[in-house]
Formats: sequence, structure tokens, C-alpha cells
Amino acid sequence: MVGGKILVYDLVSENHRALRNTPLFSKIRAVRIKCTSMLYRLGIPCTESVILINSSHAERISETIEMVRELYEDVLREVSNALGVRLPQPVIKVLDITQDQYQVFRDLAERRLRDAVDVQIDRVSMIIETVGEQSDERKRRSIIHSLKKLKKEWVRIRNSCLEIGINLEDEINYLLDLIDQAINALYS
Amino acid sequence: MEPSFGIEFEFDLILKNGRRIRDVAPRARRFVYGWDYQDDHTCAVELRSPVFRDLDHAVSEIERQFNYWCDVFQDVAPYPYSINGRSLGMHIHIGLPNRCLRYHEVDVVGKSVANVYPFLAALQCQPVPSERILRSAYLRPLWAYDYEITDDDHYAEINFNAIGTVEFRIFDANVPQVALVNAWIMREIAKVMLEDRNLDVHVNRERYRHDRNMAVRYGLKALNILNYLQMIKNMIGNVAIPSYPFVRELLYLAVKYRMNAWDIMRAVTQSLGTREFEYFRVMFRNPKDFMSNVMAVINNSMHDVVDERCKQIILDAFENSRNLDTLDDLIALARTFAPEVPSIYVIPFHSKNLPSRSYVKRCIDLHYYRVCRINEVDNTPYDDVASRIHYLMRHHGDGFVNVLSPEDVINRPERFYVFVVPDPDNRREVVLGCIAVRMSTGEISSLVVDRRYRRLGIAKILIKTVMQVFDLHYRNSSRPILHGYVKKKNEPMINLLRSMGFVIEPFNQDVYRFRVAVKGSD
Repeated sequence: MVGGKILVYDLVSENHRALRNTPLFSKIRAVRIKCTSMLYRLGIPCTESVILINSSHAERISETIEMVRELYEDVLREVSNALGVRLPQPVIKVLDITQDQYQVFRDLAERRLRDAVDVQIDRVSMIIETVGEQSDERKRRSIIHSLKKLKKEWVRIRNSCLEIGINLEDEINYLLDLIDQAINALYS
Repeated sequence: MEPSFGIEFEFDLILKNGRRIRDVAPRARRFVYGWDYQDDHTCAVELRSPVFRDLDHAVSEIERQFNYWCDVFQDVAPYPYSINGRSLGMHIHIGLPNRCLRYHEVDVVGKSVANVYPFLAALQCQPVPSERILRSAYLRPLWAYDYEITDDDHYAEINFNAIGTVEFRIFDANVPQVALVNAWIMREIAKVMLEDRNLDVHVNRERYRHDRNMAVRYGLKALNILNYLQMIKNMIGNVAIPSYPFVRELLYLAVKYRMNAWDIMRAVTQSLGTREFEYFRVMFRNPKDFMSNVMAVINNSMHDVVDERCKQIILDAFENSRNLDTLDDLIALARTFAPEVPSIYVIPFHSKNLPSRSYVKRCIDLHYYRVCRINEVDNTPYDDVASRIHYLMRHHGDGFVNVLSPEDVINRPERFYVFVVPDPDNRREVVLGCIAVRMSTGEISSLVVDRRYRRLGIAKILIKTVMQVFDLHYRNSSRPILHGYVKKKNEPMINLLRSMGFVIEPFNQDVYRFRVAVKGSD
């Protein structure tokens, strides 16, 4: 019985001996971070390289995977031309899983998300606590910017949770309220 | 006659594999080379130095003693830091080599040193906050004796010891180099103070209390070091700083980076893992140096993994501290590196490293929490609880709570009840919310919950507790009506009060008054 899908990936990292002390080190790193966040946006991460995805967005999934492959192809070709080293291609697979497996992965994802919500609530509370001490206008603007970004990200996560069936809506809504409070406090 | 000094070293032991030993066989405590020892249950080993005439004498004696000790015990190193609830201290005695001090002399020396005690404590403090100084039963602050030097209580942080010396006990145990820096400063102060027999010294009480509390909670960063150096200079003049590298290096670190030996040890050994064994053996065997010892440990092991910033600080202190010849040089350095904002903004330790929201939710689900008065919180003095309540009111009160100072929290007629959970490692209880009620009028004057833990039912638990206490208090007599005020826009609170059966009525255009329903009339 098929219960859902997971996406597993292994992206080439910058921690390769041939890349040390070369400008390509940071380039590979930037590509890896960008690709990871693109893949994370497809669903909810369960562990470091496993993402629980909603199979109803099949088109978006295949588009994203294609984009990641292209990005890597370009940068790996550059490495090969510059250093003569052939780094392995990224591995990205979408797997069907059974209902039981889906349940296990969903629990893993929920646990991980719960920790992430705790950390973000703590962080945003800290921002509200120290808002009075923050007199540098530029710093305030940068915090507001990052909070807005955070809010957007968590709205997306909340929607993914609803699609996947993870029950964390109250906690995430509370985090979003706190983010709003923090933004208001920083504006005032 | 110049003053002399002595040091009591308390330490645990550490094995090569990083395991720490708290208890040793009594025989093992007795390996001393011309020194004395004490069977003290609060530490693995306690060694007492002989009377040191001066710094040279102290350095050579400590080197001789600990080289002997390390030769006898090849597989262990002294471990002097008070972590995980230990109360390892280092007591420094100042006296005269040929006779006991008289009470007036003790009074003058003790109070003079007390005026710079917070700085000396911060130099030796570890970890920060220092659990030993804050909580140990073997150390009592000066204000417990109305700022007088007592001869009644051995555990006073400055006391007139039975052997005729003035004993300074505030210091956390540390490597010998740190104790020697403090001993040098205190001896210089004593030297000047004992010359003039008609001196009368007073402790600056407010500053002492404030700075001592800040120093043991936040370390050197919380002090105005320039002021302290000037105070020391006013007492002892522009003296030459001893040429031993460790004195200059430790003072340089304190003044320029606001770091002490603990910060360096932590920065180095955190990356070196179990290399604490090597670190402490080198430090105790070679008390003449500090930074050279640190560099030896780094170079002998995984030098690649030590943080670059840490390496820079170590190299800077090693190379540039040599130029500090006098106290004036140190003051000039402090002036150059004085922070722009004199007092740092720090989140108090009681409001840092709080448990996660999920953990608190689990605690509430399992009824693993308590509501208690402020003096009943485990392992936390009530003035720290009062300070936490003040912090909650100030930063989590949503603008409708009167922000009371910690003193007001203790002295006002309201009863404060706090919601606490044990922190995950069970070493203390953490205050997450509080409620204040004035029993005579029935007014709930404050209700605050840390915003990390709202919507978990903490406010409901606090209100229920107050209602129960109120019922109990007035069970046989007529009672005032339990009531309070809430802002109209505070919808979660209004919903909670409604769900608990409170009657809510308008008070003015922004505020509702709430009260318990009275049978018959509501």
C-alpha cells in the first residue's frame, strides 16, 4: 500500500581535498546551500537528506530536481575545467513509501519541526526582550527584514504541514504571532 | 615587616581519558613535599602552602610542590574548576611572617581589599556565573556581617582567621597563576595599609554589593575595570608589575579582552576534547608562565582545531603583555579598550538557557511542575527569583503590569506565587511565570508568563492556585472579592478569565475589571 513519497538526496559538498584554498570552494558551497533550500521547499525534512514530500505537486518536484541537476552540472563542469577533477554528480531520488513507512517519517519530521519551532520561539522572544536596547536603526531594519523572511518561511512550512498531516498548527501560529509582535515592536 | 601570604589549593583530579575524580583514598591526599594537607570532603585534595615571603618565594615553592606531586601521580592531573555542583575554592591568607595580625590591622587590610574584591573575584571566577560563590554553604557575603570583618565565622568571605591572618575565601579554585596575581595585588595593598596604623577604611557598600553580584554572575565584562585599576593605584601607587610573564599576561587579558583564565581554558580545551589533562599538568608544573603553557598544549596536540580568534588572543597576550611595566601602563590599556557603553547589556543568567517549549509542555502534561512562593524555589536564592520576576514584568508584561524592582518584589505587601519547572538537568528550578495577589484587598496586581511558554495553560494554573490560597486564607471569615484589571485588547487573557467563570465588566475605555462571580448576585 502506497502512503506517500520521500525525496532522498546526496549533494556534492565543498569538503573535497582538491577544492581547498581555491575560489571554487565557496562557489560549490553556495550551490549546495541554494540547492538544499530548494529541495527543502518541496516538503518537510525528516533527517538531513530525507524530505517528506506531498506527491500532489509532481510537476513542481520534477522541475526543482531538474533545476538542481542543471546548477550542479554547470559548477561541476567548471571544477573539471579548472582543476581537472571529476566530482560525482548529485543523487536525487523520489521514492514511494508504504503507509507504515510514511507514518514513521512523518513522526520524524514532526519531532524535528517541533524542535525548530521551539528554537525560533526562543529566538523571537529574545528579540522582543532586547528590542529596547537596540538603538542602531540599520540593525533594526535588518532584523525586521530577517523576521519577515522567517515569517514567509514558516507560513510555507505550516501549509506543507497541513498537506502532509503534521499537527503543529497551533505552535506555528503562535510563532507567527510572536514574529508579528516582534516586527511591531521594532517598528515602534 | 612586610606582609606574607599563603594559599590553600583545593582541587579534584582528572585522568588522561577526561574522567574526573572527586574522592581519593586518604593516603593519596597526604603526598606533600614540605607543605601541609587537609582531609576535606568537598574536594579530592587540599594542599596548604607554607608562609610565602614574596612572589618569588611563592612561585618557586609552588613549582617545587606540584612537580613533586605530578611525579608521584603520573596518571592524573589536578582539576581545579568547580563545575557540576562542586564547591572548590582557593583561600588566600594575608598576614605577617613573625606574628598574628591585630584586629585593627585585619580590619584595615580586609576592608581595603573588599573595595576591589569584585575585580579580584572576577579575575578568578569560573564558571560564569560562579555556582560556588552564588550558592555554596561554605561562603557567606560581607553584607551578612554588616560589612565588618568577622572573627566568629570561618565561612565569611573575608574573615579574621584563627591563625592570625585575614582570610579571603571568595575565590573559585583556579590554576596557581591566577591565585598568585590576586595574592600579589592583595599583598601590595596590605603592605601600604599596614604602614599607617591610624587608617580607618570603609567599604563602599552599594558599589560592593552591586559589583560583586555582577562580577560573579557575568564576570569581568560586567565591571568598570578602569575604575578598579585606578582604585588599586590610589591605594598602592604606580607600582611596577612583577616581571613574571603570567602576571602581565593575565592582567592584559582581563583589561583588553575582559577574559580570565577560565575563558582561555574553555576556549582551548573545548576544541582539544580530553586534553584538559595535559593542560592542567603543564599549568601546575610551570607556574612561572601562562601563555607559554597554553601554547605548549596547543602545539603538542591538535593545533589545527583551536579557533583562530582564540589563537590570535593568545598570541597577542603573549607578545604585547611584556610591555606592561607599571600600573599606569595597565590603566592606559584599560582606557584604550574601555567599552563604549560602560555597563554591558546582558540577559541575566536566570533568563538564559531556558528549557524548550516542548519540554515545558511535557512537564505540564505530566504534572511535573510546582507553584510556590519566591523563597521556596529550589537551588535559587530568593533575590534571584525576585530579579527574574522583575525581568518577566519588564520584558514579558505587555505594558499593563507595574514593573517592580527586585527589592519591591521582596518588600511589597503582595504575595508572589511563581510557576516553576525543573530545568532538564535538574540542577535548579526555572521560573516561567508569576502572579501577585494582595490578600487584604483581593487584588491580583500582576500576572506574567514568559512569552516562550504562553498558551500552555500556565496562567490558568497560577490563577487557580491563587483562588485556592484565597479560599484557604479566608475559610472562616468574610473575604474581599478576588479581582483584577485587564486590557481590552488582551483577548487571550479575557477568554481565559471567561472560561474560568470570572465576571468581566468595563472599567474605563481601555480596561476591563474582572472579579470572581458571587453566588446570588451574579
